Amino acid sequence: MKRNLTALPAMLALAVLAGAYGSFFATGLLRQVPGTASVAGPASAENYLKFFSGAGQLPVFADTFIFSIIVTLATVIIGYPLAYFIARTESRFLRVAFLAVLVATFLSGSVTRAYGWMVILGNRGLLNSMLMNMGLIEAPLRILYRQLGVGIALVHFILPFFVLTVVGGIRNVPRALEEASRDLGCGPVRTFAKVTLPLSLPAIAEGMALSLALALSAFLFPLMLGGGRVRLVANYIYDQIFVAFDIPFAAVVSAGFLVCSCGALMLMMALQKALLRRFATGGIGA
Amino acid sequence: MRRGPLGRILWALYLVLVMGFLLAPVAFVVFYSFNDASMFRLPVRAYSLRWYREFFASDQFQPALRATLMIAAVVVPFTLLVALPTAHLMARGKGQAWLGAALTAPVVVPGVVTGIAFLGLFTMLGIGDALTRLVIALSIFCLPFSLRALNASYAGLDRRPEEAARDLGATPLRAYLHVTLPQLKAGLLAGAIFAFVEATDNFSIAVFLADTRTKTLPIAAYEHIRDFDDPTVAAMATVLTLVALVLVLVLEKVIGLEKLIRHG
Repeated sequence: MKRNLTALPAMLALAVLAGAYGSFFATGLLRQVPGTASVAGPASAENYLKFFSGAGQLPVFADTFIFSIIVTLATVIIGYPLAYFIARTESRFLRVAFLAVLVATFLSGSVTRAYGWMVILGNRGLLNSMLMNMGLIEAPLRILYRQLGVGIALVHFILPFFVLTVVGGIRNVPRALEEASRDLGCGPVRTFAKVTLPLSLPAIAEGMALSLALALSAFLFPLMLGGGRVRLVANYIYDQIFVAFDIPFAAVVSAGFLVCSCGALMLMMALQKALLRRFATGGIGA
Repeated sequence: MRRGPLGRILWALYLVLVMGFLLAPVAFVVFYSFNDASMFRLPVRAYSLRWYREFFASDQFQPALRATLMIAAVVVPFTLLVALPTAHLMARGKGQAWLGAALTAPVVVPGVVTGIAFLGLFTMLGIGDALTRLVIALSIFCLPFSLRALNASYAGLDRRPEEAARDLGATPLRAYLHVTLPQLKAGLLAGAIFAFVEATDNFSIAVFLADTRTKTLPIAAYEHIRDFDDPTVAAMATVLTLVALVLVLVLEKVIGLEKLIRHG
């Protein structure tokens, strides 16, 4: 009895959430009443047929996945050394300083950061002004309103999530194993490549799954830094609502997107499980 | 870490670059907000607080600021009230772990999808008031973030004092309120901070539920950037960054930043 009462708030919240996700599969079966914000029946599979036959959204889906994978890989390459440094540095000051910068970046809001990158990367922005004042370039570099600009801001957005996830994984690698490897004659580079890196692979996979999820769902960054010229699924859905005023079709595209991104995440999680099985630390101080 | 001189230089270079990359947008926005001119030109001619006056006097940002604070004032306590019993359940009961897992869905599901899902639900239920829509949707969206903080707090909980209180005759509720709850203070604070940040910063869900009269700060900022080219948003961002810095200091003082990187 008491347990049921404790579960009540969560159950209520879950009911609303389930209602929301459920209703939107249903919304896709309805039709937009022209000129209004409401949808009406009769129910039909028309929107779903339009989605599966339409060639318009396929390149957008493909672009989104390729772009997200590139952003994820860039995040890993930039972020892993930082995670390693935070996990292994002997200086508490440096560790806390970097953690503070990461958490502050994380808390400072996505609008702030998107806006910051807009004014830095723009044609007359900080970067181009500085490079032109120094005489290094003649014409401004075109970074904003392209995938490059969106990618830079997105890597910056995802980096704290990735690093904070992976630091824990590297810390869990027992130092005794690294010391043993060195005592047995391996140099620092080989110890890293043969011991630390493989043992932190599951954490990297977890961080990558998180990064991929964040990159796929990116919306504000392509909207602000893409200037309508970077077409990703999230923006395509937004356009269906605010340009085409077609909520049911937007719901269908969202459903398709949801299925695709869940599939990608399940793949990542399967990879993580496989890595965990392969490189389980086997209880040595772990 | 023992390293050679070359390794040291490479590490230092990398760390400086990454630190610069991480700090660049926020640092530049703060600097830009004091720039008197409405266009960015190097070198900056004059500094002023003009854009702060503009921000606080604006009939776009004023209502948005009020709406955002109002939403946060409902969302944060509501989120904690739901998260607390749920975290309790997840820590004690074995069969209820799926509840917490199911509630994390909005973290993984793209925000646009969640936003449209809520829009569909509210359209069907006939809930048209933007403030009501935003409060309900953001409360549920923020839940997993505070739940996560509370779960971590529960994991480190010492259960013996509560058992002792029960043995000494306290009712379960009394033992919980007087013995267990005070131990969860840090988790509650972290949960409140995360819920506050997510509620005030959310764009991808809120943009589908707001209307022309009721919108949150991120939406007002986006619309301003779309239509104007001046540093008003930089002033807003600086104010928000200041709030974030205070929150980081609170987190470090009360919980310790190193505790935040618990694995899993």
